[in-house]
Amino acid sequence: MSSIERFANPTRFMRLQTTVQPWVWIITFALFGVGLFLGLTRAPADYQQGETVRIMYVHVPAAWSALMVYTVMAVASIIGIVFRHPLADIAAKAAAPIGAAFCFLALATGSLWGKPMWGTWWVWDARLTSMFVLLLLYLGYMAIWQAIDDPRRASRIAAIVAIVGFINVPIVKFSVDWWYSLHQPASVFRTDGPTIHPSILTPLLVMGLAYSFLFLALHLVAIRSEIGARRIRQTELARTGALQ
Amino acid sequence: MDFSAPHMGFVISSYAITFFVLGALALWIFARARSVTRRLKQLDDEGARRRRTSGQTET
Repeated sequence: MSSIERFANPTRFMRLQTTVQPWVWIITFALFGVGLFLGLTRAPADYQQGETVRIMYVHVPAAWSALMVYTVMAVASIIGIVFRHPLADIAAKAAAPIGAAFCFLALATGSLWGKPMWGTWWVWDARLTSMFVLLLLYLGYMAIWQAIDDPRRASRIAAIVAIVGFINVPIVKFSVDWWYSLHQPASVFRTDGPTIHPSILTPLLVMGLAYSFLFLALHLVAIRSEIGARRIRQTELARTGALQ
Repeated sequence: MDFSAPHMGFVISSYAITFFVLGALALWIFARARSVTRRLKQLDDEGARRRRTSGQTET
């Protein structure tokens, strides 16, 4: 049995989660503390955007996280379909509301940044539209789980949606390069290195890490809840069967 | 940070909505976890057992 299969066992996962959860929370709060301190007090205002640039420290990590969480969902869905392991489906399902919240925050804070800088709350350009499509994919994925009672059938259909919808992730990333957009091109993850000064880049990366650990912390709790919810369902089904 | 700078309302609103949404998300996830734990304990106290099918992975 491979180590992945060993840890993919729900009972082992519950034991591991109990051990690592407090440490994940400590790291999450520490990263948020350092990131916000650097971003709000140490990083300089931008020479063109002024203080408005500080929206970047909550907007960009939210957008990165929305893409990362969808990637996690797509990978978990592939594992769920190929290996039929229920923990993969549970992980994908538990990630969706967290990813949807990150995606909504990326759109909302982007809109709040766009109004003073571009003079508009919203434009239907490639980056904004593809990000909006990502939010719809998250909501559609969650709606499938809500609409179908049988978890096995729901997991199969939801996994297909997650895998097919993954095509949107590179579209979001490269939309600013492929099409004309009000949105600026990539300035951190570039083949020739970041174009941002370290005084701004450092808090941005710390906040990115903080969002990633927040996702991990919430995801671990959500997976545990979903495992518990399935145990409740199995117990109640067994009880119903015993009564009949 | 200069609170008298132009457009500070947009900056403050961005941080406020971020903390509100992330806080609400965390509260919802914890509330669900608590409700599931309570129900599991209730079923355990009642001595209920789960249904198992052959070859099914434990969840």
